Amino acid sequence: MSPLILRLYIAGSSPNSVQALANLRGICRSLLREEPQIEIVDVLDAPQRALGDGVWISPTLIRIHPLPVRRIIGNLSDQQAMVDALNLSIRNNS
Amino acid sequence: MNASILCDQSEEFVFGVVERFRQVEEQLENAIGGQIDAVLGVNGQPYLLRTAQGRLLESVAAERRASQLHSSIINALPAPVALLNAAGVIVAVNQAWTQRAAHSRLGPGCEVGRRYVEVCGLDLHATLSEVERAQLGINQVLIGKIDQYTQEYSCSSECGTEWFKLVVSPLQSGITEGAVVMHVDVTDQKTAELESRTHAAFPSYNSHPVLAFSKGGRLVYRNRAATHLLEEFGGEILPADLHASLAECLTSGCGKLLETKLGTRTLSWSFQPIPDEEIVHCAATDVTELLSLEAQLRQSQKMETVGQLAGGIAHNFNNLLTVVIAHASRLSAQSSAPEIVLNSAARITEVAKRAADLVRQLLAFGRRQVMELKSLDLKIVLESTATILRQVLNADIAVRVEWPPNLPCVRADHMMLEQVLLNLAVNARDAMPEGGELVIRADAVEVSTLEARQQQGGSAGEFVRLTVRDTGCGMTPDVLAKVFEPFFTTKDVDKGTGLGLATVYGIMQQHGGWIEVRSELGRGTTFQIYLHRAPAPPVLVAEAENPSSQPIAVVPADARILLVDDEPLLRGVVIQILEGAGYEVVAAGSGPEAIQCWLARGGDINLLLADMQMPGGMSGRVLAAELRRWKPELPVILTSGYTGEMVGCAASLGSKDAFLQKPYPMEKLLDMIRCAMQRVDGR
Repeated sequence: MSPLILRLYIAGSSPNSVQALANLRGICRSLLREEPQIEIVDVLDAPQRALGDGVWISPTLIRIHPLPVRRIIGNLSDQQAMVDALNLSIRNNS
Repeated sequence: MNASILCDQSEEFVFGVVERFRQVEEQLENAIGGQIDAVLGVNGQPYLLRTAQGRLLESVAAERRASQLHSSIINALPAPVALLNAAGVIVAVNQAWTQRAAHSRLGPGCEVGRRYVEVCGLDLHATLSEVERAQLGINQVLIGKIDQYTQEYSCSSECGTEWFKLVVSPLQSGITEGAVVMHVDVTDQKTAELESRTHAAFPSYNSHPVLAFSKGGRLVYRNRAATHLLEEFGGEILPADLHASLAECLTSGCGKLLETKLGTRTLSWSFQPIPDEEIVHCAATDVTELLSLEAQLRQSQKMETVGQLAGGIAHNFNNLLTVVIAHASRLSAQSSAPEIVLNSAARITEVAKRAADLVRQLLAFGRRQVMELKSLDLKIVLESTATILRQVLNADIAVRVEWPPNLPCVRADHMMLEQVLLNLAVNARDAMPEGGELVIRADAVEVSTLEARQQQGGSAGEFVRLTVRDTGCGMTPDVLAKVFEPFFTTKDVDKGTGLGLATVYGIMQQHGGWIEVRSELGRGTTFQIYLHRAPAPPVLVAEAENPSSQPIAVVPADARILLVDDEPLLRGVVIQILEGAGYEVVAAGSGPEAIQCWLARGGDINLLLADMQMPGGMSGRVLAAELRRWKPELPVILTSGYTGEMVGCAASLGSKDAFLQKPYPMEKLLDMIRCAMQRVDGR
């Protein structure tokens, strides 16, 4: 199975961005079967990347692979919504 | 548009725009639920939402506060603390570190940006091996191999030695982001540790056994000496009623002294309670030597008492013996008496002389002998000693006494030399319980300076050497080393005084000679004594040793003798003898009475015969001196039953004085009187 590739757009150390990053790490560590490949992009540093991905709002998480591309806006505090939205394969015991 | 000046119209416009802007933000937040921070404009410029901006400012401020708090905490630490990056380079330090660095060779502010181990080596004066160990430990923390590394090290400065504990912790556990290094000053703790170790060495290395027991009798401490003792003897070294003694000490709070026997040795225990800790300190001392010394002291005191007693008895006993001998002499002088009477008289004289010998031995034991150094023919001493030895030694000990012809005379006291030989012979006898051979040999020797140096107390010159050799059990080197020490004896308390060889040693010193001893275990012992040679004694002196054996001759004389003695029996018989010899006798019982008699006769007295020791506060010597004030040429014969009185007073006796030891044969008394009279007449 091909790896899960995610990209998280954040706005510096803004509260929701920091929260999103922490939540994403938490979900990866506790729920996912295997470690996804994650790229963090700060829109304050690289706004052109956001334009290229059509991301207008931070924080936004994009599932790059597998296709289709999916987006989630917000601080990723709702774990179940995230699993459903991204169709993540989670561990059986959790 | 000029932003700094706004007219009323434009103010209204700006307000409207801002209001719209706020409404858009609100709609956006409502749509997404307050979970976003920024939006991106079509031009690609990110716009941070109002709420996010506020929260970001708040969090930055909080972070700054937290950071300030943390640095306050870190700076408040008295220990120097440094933060290292993953490469081991110092990235930050606390105030304590800065202050320390300021006084180091580095100089202030030079440590950040340098490798920690470099700084550590320079700043903390640590030794190379310590720095290497520290580097290894820090590396292990940095690569996440260990969670913490600690190392104690010392560094010396002009203030003394300081001790530090290096504590290295990872910056974030498991991730190799760097490490926190702290140097905690543990000098006080270390000094206290060293001090307590030093103090602990006192009991530990004490040569006396030291133990500590808990209340319940559990051994909680024992030093090396106690360990050795316990290993050798087990629990029997401890007092039998140990538990009771421990409880008693702790209850009363008072110490206790106990004794235990360990074979032939005696241990004295001192129990000292430490009530606060509920333990009892017990220290043991081997008092065997002390007890033995005490026994020796008691023994020597006993001997001193016996000696004094002997002296006292000898005085009276000799008086009585003089009377006995005098009466026997009188009987012997009666040529007309029946033979049975003459035989009895002869036997009485013989027995009285033996009794006198006994008294002499008693005095010798009490060491109350007068030393009289004179030219002595050793042959006479050796012959008489050999005779005695053959009588007293068991038949299984063969006695051989040898001397070469032309043996030179020695300067010695006859009696003392005899005592020396007897003591050595007795020693030899005790060394040969199964029998053997005792050889006494005399020879003339010349001692060179070199030889003299090798012998204790030796001197160069011509000597006569007396060798006393036995084939007995011999002595160990230990015993040999102490053989002349007073009170040293290998015999049982009642059998040996430990003074025999000590007396020999003392006598030899008095004689200006010396003694040597060689011994081999199982082979025997050889004593050699060296005596100064002396010219041959004049024939006259040799004769004087043997009193005339002629019967009492009645020599007419018109001399008047003043006889002073406190013993009436003795006075009576001496009067009879002297009168029988033709003398006129004036008798007195004390010094004052004698002076009265002298005055009554107008000083017409030709000789004074007085006892040295008399009641009435005037001794014979004082009386003689009194009478000589009137008649300086008065011949004086002093008698005594106790030679101790002669010690130290020989010099005070004038040349006209003679001394007669009681008991004396009547012939000797008469001889002496005649000699004294002749000397006055021939003057």
